[in-house]
Amino acid sequence: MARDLQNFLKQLDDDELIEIDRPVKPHEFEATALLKQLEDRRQYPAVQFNRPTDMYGNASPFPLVSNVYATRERCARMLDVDPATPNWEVSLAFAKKSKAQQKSVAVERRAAPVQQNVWRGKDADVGRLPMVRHFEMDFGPVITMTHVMRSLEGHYNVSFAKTFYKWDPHEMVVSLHTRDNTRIVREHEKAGKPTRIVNVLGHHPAFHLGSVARNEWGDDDYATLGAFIGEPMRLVPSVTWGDEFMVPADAEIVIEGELPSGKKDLCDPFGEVARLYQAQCLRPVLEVKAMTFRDGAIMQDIFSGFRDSCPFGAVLKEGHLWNVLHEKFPNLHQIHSPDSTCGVYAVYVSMKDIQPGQAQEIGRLILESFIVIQCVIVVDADIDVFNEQEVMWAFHTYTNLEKGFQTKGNWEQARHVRHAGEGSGKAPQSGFATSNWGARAVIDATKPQDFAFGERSQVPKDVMERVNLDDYLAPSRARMPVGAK
Amino acid sequence: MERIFWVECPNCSTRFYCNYNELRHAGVKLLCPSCHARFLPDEAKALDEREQLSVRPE
Repeated sequence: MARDLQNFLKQLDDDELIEIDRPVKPHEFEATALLKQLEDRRQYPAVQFNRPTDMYGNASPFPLVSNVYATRERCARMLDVDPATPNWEVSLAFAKKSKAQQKSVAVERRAAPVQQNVWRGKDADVGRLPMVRHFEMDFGPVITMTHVMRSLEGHYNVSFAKTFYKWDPHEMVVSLHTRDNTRIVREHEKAGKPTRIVNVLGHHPAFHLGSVARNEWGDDDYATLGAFIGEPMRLVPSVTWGDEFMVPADAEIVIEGELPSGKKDLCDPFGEVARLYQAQCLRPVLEVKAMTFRDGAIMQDIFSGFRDSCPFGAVLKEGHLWNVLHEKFPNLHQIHSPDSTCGVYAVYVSMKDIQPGQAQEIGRLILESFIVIQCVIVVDADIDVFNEQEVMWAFHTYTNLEKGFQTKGNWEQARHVRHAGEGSGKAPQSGFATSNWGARAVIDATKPQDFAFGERSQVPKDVMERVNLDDYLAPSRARMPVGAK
Repeated sequence: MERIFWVECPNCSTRFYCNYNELRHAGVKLLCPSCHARFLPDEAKALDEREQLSVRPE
């Protein structure tokens, strides 16, 4: 069975995927209104809208699926982890896969589902897609999925960027922001060449989750993503550039386009992953060359800033920081970036038998690893970093607010990154840096060891293990929802 | 912190914000997300470009 989006969705239980058959208008906020109401009820199923409208208000040929990443249990499934252990095990799986590689394989066009249908030239009308306008101040409907670019040296880079609809069937604006795709655009502009770019609107969810893994310049992201989806990526020559640019054969929908050198237009505001609107700005124009899609293709979207986007920041931080820190700190226990900060601004770290100075040192290294992190809270290993209530208890109980709070101000690198198409010199970062103050904090919330301190109350561990709640509850009561009387 | 400025659309009064360094004085017409009117920042019905007060560590 191919590792693709539709086979993944088929594996989900009824309570993990709901289908909505009534027509919805995603470009008029109706999809996100429904997702928000589910989230308000603390329900996080993946949602497939079977009859969304396109940009003309007509029925789109493509269903729309969103909220796929909204639970760590589903992220566990994506990464071949038991959903019953969705926390640290998912972090470790991401850490392991981001260091592995599986060489891709090329397939012929007739074996590539994504090219079962090909729209070229004037037929390649992106307005037929059920693009989502997510939030009130948004610039307009937007595609939230990953892009593939290729450097002049020949390696493929896969990363997230938003693609904005411009009320034009063949031209969009792409909000590139990562270090590598910015560099690829700059090098093409310097060489006087348009930058080729492919927008992948749905694949096996591990493809998109793995695309946030941090690779070195020159690494082949397709090989990394093979490790994430658990088999070699099947690639097929693009319909526009042939084997000079290979595209994922098992994707749902692909847009092939080019960024003409130096051509920009307005995009944003957009409600970003950290729940703030990104400011209106100028970004490269994407000229659409072709759209290809499989029979029965489903377009995927991310509900940005809500539970659906949290794992992209959280699991990345947890896995990457484990990879870079666990050898230096053998007593490092677990790492978590909580949903309360959208998996962006905070990291909680637990340490076994922490030594003097370690909280500040590991906090400093974490802040240096991710410029968006504002706050690191270090706790003991008996505090579950995936349980924010426990972390807050440790903070309010153990932290000496006079000595345990380390702040560092005016981190220049936290406030400036360079964007695609910009010239030399620094440029301000749009997006989640809108609230990035530059000053950052490391909070030592480990239990004081240098003087006699109280003990956290506990039910004896052996009794907790011996006495099982389910064995003591009547069946009807065992099913009672939390909080019911 | 990125500097932004708020504008109020002269056509429909929708408020939205823009990147200050890229758009405040670049001569680029902004695009209202609500009514799609295009206007220069100085043509906005209202403009809020207050800068963050400098906060430096002691």
